Amino acid sequence: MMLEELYQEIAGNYQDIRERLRKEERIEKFVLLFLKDTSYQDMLQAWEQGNLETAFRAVHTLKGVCMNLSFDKLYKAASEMTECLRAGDAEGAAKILPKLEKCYEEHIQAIRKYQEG
Amino acid sequence: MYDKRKINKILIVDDSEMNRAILADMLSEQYEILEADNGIAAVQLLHSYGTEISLVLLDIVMPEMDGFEVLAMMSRYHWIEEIPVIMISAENSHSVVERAYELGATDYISRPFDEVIVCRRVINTIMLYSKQKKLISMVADQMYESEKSNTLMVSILSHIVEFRNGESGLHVLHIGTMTELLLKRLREKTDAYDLDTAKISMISKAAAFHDIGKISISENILNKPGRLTEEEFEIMKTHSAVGADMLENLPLHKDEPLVKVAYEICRWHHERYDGRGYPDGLKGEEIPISAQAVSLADAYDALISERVYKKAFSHEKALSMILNGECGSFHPLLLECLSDIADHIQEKLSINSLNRGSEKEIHNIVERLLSHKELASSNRTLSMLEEERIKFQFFASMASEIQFEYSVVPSMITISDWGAEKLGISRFIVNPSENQELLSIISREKMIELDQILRCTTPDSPIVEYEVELNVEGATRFSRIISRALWSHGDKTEYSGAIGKIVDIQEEQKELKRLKELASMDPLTNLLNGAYAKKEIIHMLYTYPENEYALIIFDLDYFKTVNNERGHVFGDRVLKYLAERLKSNIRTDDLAARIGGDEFLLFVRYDRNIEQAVSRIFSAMTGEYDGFKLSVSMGIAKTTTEGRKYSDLYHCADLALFAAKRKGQGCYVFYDKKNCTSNAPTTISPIDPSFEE
Repeated sequence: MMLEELYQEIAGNYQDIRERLRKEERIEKFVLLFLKDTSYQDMLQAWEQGNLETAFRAVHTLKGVCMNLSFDKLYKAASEMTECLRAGDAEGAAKILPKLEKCYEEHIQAIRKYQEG
Repeated sequence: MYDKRKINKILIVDDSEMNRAILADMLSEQYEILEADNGIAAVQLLHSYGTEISLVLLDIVMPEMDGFEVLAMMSRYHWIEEIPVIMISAENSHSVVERAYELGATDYISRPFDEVIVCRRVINTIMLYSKQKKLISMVADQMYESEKSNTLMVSILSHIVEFRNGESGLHVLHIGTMTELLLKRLREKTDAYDLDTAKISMISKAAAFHDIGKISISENILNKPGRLTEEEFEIMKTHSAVGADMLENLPLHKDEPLVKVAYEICRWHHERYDGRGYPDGLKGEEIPISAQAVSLADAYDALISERVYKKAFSHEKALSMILNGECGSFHPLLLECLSDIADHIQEKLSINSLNRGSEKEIHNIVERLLSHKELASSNRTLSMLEEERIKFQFFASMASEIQFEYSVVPSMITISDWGAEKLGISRFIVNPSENQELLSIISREKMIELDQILRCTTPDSPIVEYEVELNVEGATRFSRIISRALWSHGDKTEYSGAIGKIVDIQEEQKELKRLKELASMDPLTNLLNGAYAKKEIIHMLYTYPENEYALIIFDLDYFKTVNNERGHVFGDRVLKYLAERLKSNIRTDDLAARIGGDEFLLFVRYDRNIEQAVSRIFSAMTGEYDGFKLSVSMGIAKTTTEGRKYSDLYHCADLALFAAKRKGQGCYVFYDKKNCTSNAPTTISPIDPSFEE
């Protein structure tokens, strides 16, 4: 699978990242690095412990990472979550969480598939 | 190998490793990259690298310490003036961007990162800053040159006047210094005169001109050794108006602020507060404050200097003459200022002697440079600061000491590397009074108390020594915190923090305790000595009024025989043995003391049956030691019957002991009026004179 196809699958913006990061190897490097990024897990953990502030910072980081990788769809989901947690709206966040979870898993699976060739 | 191209270091601060990696990847070809994953780590790196860092890329939302706080720290340490900061964040709200700019950020890059934009901004910013630095140093050099020649002109001119006057060349410098001291103090007392640092500096400089009018006075009058005639004095008095006219008639520059102030000083430095001065007879606040300050400084310096017509007076004499109104009347508030600074005057004037004068000028110029906001940090001062920083770090790292630095805003403690390791805590502690790490070492109350003490110091005596128990490496250690409060030297003195070090005085305390114990001990038996026992007994009687006690005095029967027949060494061994037995037969709260050669004192608490307790102790003291039959005579006095006065108890026990001896030794007797006569001689032969009643 090509990088471009991966971006299609996860509804990312390949055009955009290509313009910004310039080199295909570099894009690949960071996309693969995303598998090791812990901000999503950090958020889940803080969320389960009821620590909204830490959860906010973690999902905020996730949002920044997605933005940099042009993962537009995941960025949107993380953004919504960020705003909910920023406002301290636990109820709203609980509603969004399943969507974010699903979206995140889709990304991880697609990237793994790409990694395996 | 040293890579020439990578001469600039860039610090990337972001809590996401991925984001740091992307930026590092874009920039690592041209720059050396340092990374920090939170604000505290960033501040730490800034501390150790200082201006070696050419640029900071700073995220805003981070754990521990966020980007805004990092900016605040950077401005506190003046890094922000030298190290540009580009903010990076996914936050695009205007308020966030605005706040970052307000705090000193140079630029702002929003996510997602675009390689071209990131690289371009970084290059531009670094170039802009280095250009600016060059400019600053050029302007600074020029200012320095022009200031230098100005000062030179002023001092040449005023020296001409002085040499003609036959005054010492120091007069001009002294007046400038005194004027500056007076006005600085005045500013602390009132803001009625709108005196900022620049204005004070200008007045002090213009003070040099106060006597230029004397150029018009003939040398016969100027240097006349005796008293001036009335006519001569009238001529002398013209110098103030003449000097002012000279300045007013300057073809150029007469509108310069310096010249205007000099005019005020020339014309009115002989006016007096009550209106009895000359030339215009101005009164009170009609006289400009510049002229008032210079006239007071002039009066003082004239008194302490030798002149053709008078000898020099001492500093003290000069002060009292001025304060008593012998030199005419001055502004009462200025006289207060004079008293306030009295202790510093001599020191300051001696520092500003002639050959040091130029140094002082340089110092003033530097001060002036620093007061210009756009020149806040010339390269010269920065490199000096940088050098100081390196020196400080070097010495701090060599000293095996716990050193610390505390700042009020932001509330933060920085601890030296060695110190942090020793205490097992972080080097940077934000919000110390809430920090669990720190609170595990020192209690919050003690921390707050120390802070209060520091706040109560003054800039003149800012040092505090504070002793406290600290929890270091799991053990309680007596420590002394030697600390110096930092008072900012702006227009208002303000407590801005403290620096200091922590010294372990555990050993010292131990030694002190040992010495104290030593002073309370009988060296032979290690029981208490009489004087100490007495103090303790009085203390116990007073502190525990609910307890009943028995005071027991006993001595060893036939002890003289032992000494005579088997020698003193054996005698001492007997006493030691007895003391050991005594110790093991009383409770820890009871007191046992050796009060005479073979006399002992016991002070025991009892609940009901004192008889039984005494009998037990008595039996324990009876027996045999190395062929010597141990036998004691004992006298006892109880608080229940004899009261709680030490001297009464002691006296009664002594009488009871005498009764026991009379009964035939080897027995004990409780004091009782019937069996003990009060005229019996004392049985005790004190070894300790302070123990005698």
